[in-house]
Amino acid sequence: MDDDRIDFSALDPKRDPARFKRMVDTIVAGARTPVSAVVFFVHELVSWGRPAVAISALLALTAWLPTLVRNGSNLSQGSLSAVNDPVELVSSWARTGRVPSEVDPLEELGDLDGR
Amino acid sequence: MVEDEDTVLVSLARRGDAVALEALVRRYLRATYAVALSVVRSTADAEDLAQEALMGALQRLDQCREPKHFARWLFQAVRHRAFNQLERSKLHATLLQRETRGEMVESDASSVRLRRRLLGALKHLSATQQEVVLLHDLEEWTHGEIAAALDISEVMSRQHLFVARRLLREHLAHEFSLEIKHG
Repeated sequence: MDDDRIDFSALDPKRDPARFKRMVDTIVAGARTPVSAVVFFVHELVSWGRPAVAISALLALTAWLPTLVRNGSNLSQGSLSAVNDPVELVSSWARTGRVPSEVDPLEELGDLDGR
Repeated sequence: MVEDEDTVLVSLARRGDAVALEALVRRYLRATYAVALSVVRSTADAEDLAQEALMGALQRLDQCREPKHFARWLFQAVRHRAFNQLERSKLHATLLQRETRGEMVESDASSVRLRRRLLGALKHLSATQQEVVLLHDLEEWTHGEIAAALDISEVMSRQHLFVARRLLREHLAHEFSLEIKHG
């Protein structure tokens, strides 16, 4: 630690940790454009060597995209949860080491549109 | 090495990797705020600008030609945005008013006074001096990191820090003595 340091804690946005976390969450949600979410989703599935799952996922996304377009503003506000966000869905599969079956994407994402 | 990590994070974030995006946000939000603060000198406006600039940069990651210099690219964007805002809204004229608005929600009066003193002292520094001292003393970046992000040498970073601290201490002491004098 540097003894000559000027104490800028009064200017530090982290002085309110909850507010700082909300700022981080808002930026992350806003930065994730629908296109980048879809690219990540498909890329992850293809990289797992599961083209059948990727094709299934693309079909599911085709059903899901109208919902995405309708709720585009909501997406940018980070309203999608892990349950109905395709990126979160794939990330959760990756984290748990679970390899999805061909019908999983259709079942998980198809439900979003009330199917 | 931060630049190598940035290259990886930017590559992943370009593909929409949420974890990489969040890592970039956590790494650069306060630094982006520091750069914005050195231009607008209002904590509320600097926070807004930092959020907008960081979000905008992450949405346009494909335009970042040198991912290892992500910080440099990001800081140019936030400076540009901050100067534009100053131009558009003639923010200088309303800074005091906005700071007062921000202070209404601050419960600790001494913290408000200290913040006002710090912002008052910062205006006596050059833009680069402000960025260096804020990145070093607020964000705790090393001179190597600052030099890479601001495109200056480490020697210059140390020199800017030395001068900035001296000037800040002089002006803070002066403002404090005025406060004592006027009760």
